[in-house]
Amino acid sequence: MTGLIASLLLAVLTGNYWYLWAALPYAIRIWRREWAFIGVALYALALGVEAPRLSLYTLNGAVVGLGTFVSVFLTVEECLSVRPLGPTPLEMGLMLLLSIAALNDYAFATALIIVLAYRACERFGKTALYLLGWGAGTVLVLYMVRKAMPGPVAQTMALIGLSLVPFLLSERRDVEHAEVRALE
Amino acid sequence: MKRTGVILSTGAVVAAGAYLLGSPVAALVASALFTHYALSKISFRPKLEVRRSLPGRAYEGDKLRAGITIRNPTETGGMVRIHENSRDVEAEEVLTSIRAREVKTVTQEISAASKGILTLQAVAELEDERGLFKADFPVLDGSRLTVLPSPARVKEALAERKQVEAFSLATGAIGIGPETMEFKELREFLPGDTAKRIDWKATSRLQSLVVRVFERETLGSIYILVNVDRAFRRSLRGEKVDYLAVIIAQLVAYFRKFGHSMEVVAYDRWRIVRRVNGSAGPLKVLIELGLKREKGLPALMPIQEKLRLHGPPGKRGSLITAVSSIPSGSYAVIIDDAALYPREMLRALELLRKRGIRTVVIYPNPVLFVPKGEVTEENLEVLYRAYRERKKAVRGLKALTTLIEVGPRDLLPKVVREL
Repeated sequence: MTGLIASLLLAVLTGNYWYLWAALPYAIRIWRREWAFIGVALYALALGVEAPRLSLYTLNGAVVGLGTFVSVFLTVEECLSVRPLGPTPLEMGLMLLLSIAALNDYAFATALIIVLAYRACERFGKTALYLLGWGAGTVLVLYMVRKAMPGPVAQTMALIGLSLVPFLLSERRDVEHAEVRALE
Repeated sequence: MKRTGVILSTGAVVAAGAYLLGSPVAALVASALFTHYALSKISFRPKLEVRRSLPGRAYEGDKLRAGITIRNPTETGGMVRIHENSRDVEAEEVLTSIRAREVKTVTQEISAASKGILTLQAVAELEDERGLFKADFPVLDGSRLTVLPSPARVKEALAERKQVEAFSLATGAIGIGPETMEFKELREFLPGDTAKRIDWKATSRLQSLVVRVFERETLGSIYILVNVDRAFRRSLRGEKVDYLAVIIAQLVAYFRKFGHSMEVVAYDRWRIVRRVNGSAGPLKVLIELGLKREKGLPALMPIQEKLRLHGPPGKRGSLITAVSSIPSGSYAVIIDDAALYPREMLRALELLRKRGIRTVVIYPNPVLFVPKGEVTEENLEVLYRAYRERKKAVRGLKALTTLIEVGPRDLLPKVVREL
């Protein structure tokens, strides 16, 4: 439920209530896990249209961007996974930490990174290092080209390009994709 | 429909929208989807060791409980779905979750849909925790499953088993005496009648198959060739009755009643033992054949005799000699264990066909003659195998002649009715 809490906090912080759509995939997940990916897709599409249009080179934009990434990542993971949604005591602590940290931008960003790192390590094991490496690399690249960026469109283009790096890395592995039996 | 397809398509649409709107935050939504997909795929390194323990044997239709041990030596957990691909058994699909480095035991209910030695082919499909990727692993069974006919069903089948209309089949097959065009009567359709003889008007009126019967012009000479070998007789012998003697007596009485001239040619494994004129009647035929009861020797189980299915024909030439002595244009009824020496039988039938002698083979199957009291759980499988081997052995003979498989309960009711 950490993804849902992160989304709720973002909705409050930004005043953009499209983040509340995160409740949809969780509701579907509770009803029927097989179909939760539809809710995830709808949530992502809603945010894709209505996300705040902020530059990542501002503090507010960076925190909102990080929060959006963490919120979507955690929502996808928690809604698709077979593991129970009910939070463990440690997760309750993390949610409390997020809520308290939301009072300050820097604290909120730090708390988001902690929650993301915890969830990634817990669910993906050592593979989580790819995520942390990609995150650090993305921040570094964006920092290095900060003066060359003419505007938000260029930042978007750069981010999309960087997003394809882990995708291309994963394509080295040949894995069979599972079917959704409930919709066959 | 694949979840990965939906997630990646959504990511691509959001990325395109973010670029058009100039929204870096929206681009991070697409990033989250792509990175989640990438991490899931990279971390999916499945390996399962699945073993299913089955009892070595089972009865047809019985439900078995197979224990399945699933060992996951990797960090990739998820849902395991075990399904059976063999059509010979009906097995419930097992669905269970498994965690990283977990060993789990589940049970599966299986019921055999057919008899015999069945090879099972189960597959364990591991789907990752998110339902995005999957991998298949073989289920190791260790051995094949032997399914025996259940004693209850054997009893049921015995109770329902219809009497073989052996005489109707025999006379129909060899067509004793050519028929004239003169109509004799209408009668009910019997096994062995051809479709040409069906009287369709009478059939539609009576709502059951009716055939036309014509007068026979001549009575042909019938040669009854009987294997009186000691081993064959022992394999047919019951507690008190020598079934071979019964069959011979019944045939002689039946053909004699209709005025056929007939000769009984008795042969054993090596030579023609005796030739007896059948017109004298069944009792005299049996006395002359000398089919006396041998005391002290138990009935021979059919599994103790080895079928000669392959290799060159054996030294047993007595059947060929007996067949060669029959004049062309007559009719032959062979009473022998057709499955024991199928190659010799095949040669004899080919010889008969070349010489224009119409033939029928009455095949007392020794497996059917095993007394019920001697059928135990221990020897049921062996008997069943012997029965299957015999079925296989006589398959080739059926193309050449009519082969009537009889057991101890066949013939008699029909003979009583006719006499």
